[in-house]
Amino acid sequence: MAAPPVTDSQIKAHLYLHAVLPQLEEVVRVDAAAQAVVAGWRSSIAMQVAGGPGVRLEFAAGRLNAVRRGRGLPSLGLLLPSPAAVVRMFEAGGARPLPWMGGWRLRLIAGLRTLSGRLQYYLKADRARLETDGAFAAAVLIRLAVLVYAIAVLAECLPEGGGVSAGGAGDGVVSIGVAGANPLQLHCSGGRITASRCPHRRANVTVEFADASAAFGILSGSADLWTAIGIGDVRLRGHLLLLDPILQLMARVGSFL
Amino acid sequence: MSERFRDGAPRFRHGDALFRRAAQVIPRGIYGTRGPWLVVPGSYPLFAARGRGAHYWDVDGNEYIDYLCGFGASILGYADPTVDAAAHAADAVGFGFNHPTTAMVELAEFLTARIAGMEWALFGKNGSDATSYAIQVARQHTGRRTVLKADGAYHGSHPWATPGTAGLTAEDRAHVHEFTWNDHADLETLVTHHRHDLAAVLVTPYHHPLFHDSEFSQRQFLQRLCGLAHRHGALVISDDVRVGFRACLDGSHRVFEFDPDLTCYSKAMANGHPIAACLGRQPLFSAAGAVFATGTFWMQQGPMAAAMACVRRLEQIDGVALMRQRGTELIEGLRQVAARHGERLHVSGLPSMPKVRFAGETDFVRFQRFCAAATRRGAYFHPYHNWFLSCAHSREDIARTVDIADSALAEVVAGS
Repeated sequence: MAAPPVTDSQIKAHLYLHAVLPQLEEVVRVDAAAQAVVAGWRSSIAMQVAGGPGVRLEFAAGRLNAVRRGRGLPSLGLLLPSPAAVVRMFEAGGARPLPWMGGWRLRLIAGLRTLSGRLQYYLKADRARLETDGAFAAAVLIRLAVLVYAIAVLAECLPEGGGVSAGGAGDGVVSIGVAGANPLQLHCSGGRITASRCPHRRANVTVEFADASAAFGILSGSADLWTAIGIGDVRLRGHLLLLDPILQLMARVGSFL
Repeated sequence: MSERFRDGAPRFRHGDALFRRAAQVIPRGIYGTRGPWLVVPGSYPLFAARGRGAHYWDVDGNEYIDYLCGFGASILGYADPTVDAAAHAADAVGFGFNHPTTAMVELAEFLTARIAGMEWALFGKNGSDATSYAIQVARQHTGRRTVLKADGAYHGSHPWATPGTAGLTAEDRAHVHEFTWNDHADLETLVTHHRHDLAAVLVTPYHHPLFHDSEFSQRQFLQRLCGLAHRHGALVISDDVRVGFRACLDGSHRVFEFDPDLTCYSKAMANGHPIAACLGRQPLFSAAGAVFATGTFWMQQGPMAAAMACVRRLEQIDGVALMRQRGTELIEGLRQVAARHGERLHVSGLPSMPKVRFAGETDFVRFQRFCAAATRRGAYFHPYHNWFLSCAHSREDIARTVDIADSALAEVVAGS
């Protein structure tokens, strides 16, 4: 197994490629502008950091599937020279990836730019800019997914120390979601944590937000999780012992994203 | 306020408002194990107003028959007139002096005359003070660093022991290692590995970890543990903070038949007045004196007077037998109720501090609902922690509690 990343840039590169970018799946599922872009696409876009993490976006039948590794050559291959370049690209738009495959496929490049814009909208827009209830609910679920996937990425990337790592978690399934919507899950097993969008195992412990507004407050940093638990905006159920390392990792996400 | 995760009753109007105020100025609003995260917000009170006997009232005036007893501290019942009068009388002359008072010497004499095998005592405020001090004494006496404890055992909130992870460094626990309770082979492997640096093995009289069943020593585990530790020149520390004075009044190690060098008490020893004690054998007297131990409030005489009054009262009324009897009645009543609803309870630990869950359930979800339903009806059941009986629980309290449990369980079964 490769050594875990140690610099902030390396960790952030993992987070952007493995926690943020995969949420394009949900954007494509719920956003009309994104759906218009990918309609008819049967393509794949690979984004790779030189000597570092990569992600592959596979489009078919109007849907997107984000995976860490794909088979065969992608339709469009993009190379980022360093983790720092990934960070600049996501945070300042200051770095352009270099096409190493399919650079002539201008429609894919332009489409990816539009998709990125829609993802940014759901991730960054304040409450007033999320025009409809549907957009607001989607933004909450997308931000929640980023958080959950980021917990798994940090569990993989952070060096052991003080128990703030996957090694501190017991085996089990943690479910995190908004009441009435499909939750996300974190599977803790043998010191590893993986995130999953489709709940496929009974959770040992659940973290449930009362509604999208309650979740938005926590995700945007305008509300405190412990207060929200106390006033009934967040409900914890099940084997709470599993939660401590998860919450520790959750608290660290904000220092990277 | 969101009512989505609440039952809709304005039961906690004042408590909720108070929590909102608290959350503005106190981290988490209420920190530690008394915070709302460990129970079921909306079903459990967050702030207490007053108590008497086995009952207490929250700030909204809701009354509870209490089966957590201040996490074990209330052993005679809240506002016990004998204990509180002793504490108030002792403090009425003023406190916070430059010096200890006579009460400290009297309490040390009082405890060493009672706790089997212990010949000196030192006092602090919380269980963590006692366990941390005991470890320092063991390290000072042996000149070694390593401490072994059972996996999942709680020994306080100091960095070497806290079950939390925030704000710690790996070095905080560098010399603390864990063995599996009742697994002598595991313990022996660990002891053998650390034998040249082993200062102490720290144990509770029986294993009572949060979220898990309680376990008594099996196959002479504690006796063999003592033999193994002593053979390698290490000490044995009994953390009697939780069990102390509920199993017996002269040290739980006497009932559970093991042989510690140091014992730690707090919680019930003064019926809720803030005091902790570490007691030890004579050969450790010099090492105990070498360890720097102090706290501004550690020598206050009121809690010391309360401790003596509390233990005397327990002796007078045979409190240990009384709590065992009430606990047995409670568990028997709950088992019958459960059976009527087609459920089975799994109960472990002492009858006076039972750990209860539904048989076959490991993630507590239904049991959490049951405890919440019972608490809403006036019987405070904690979903994860072992419960506590006090001497103030009456037969009528137990009967009322069983009725409440019947109704609560009906709600859970109906919702399944």
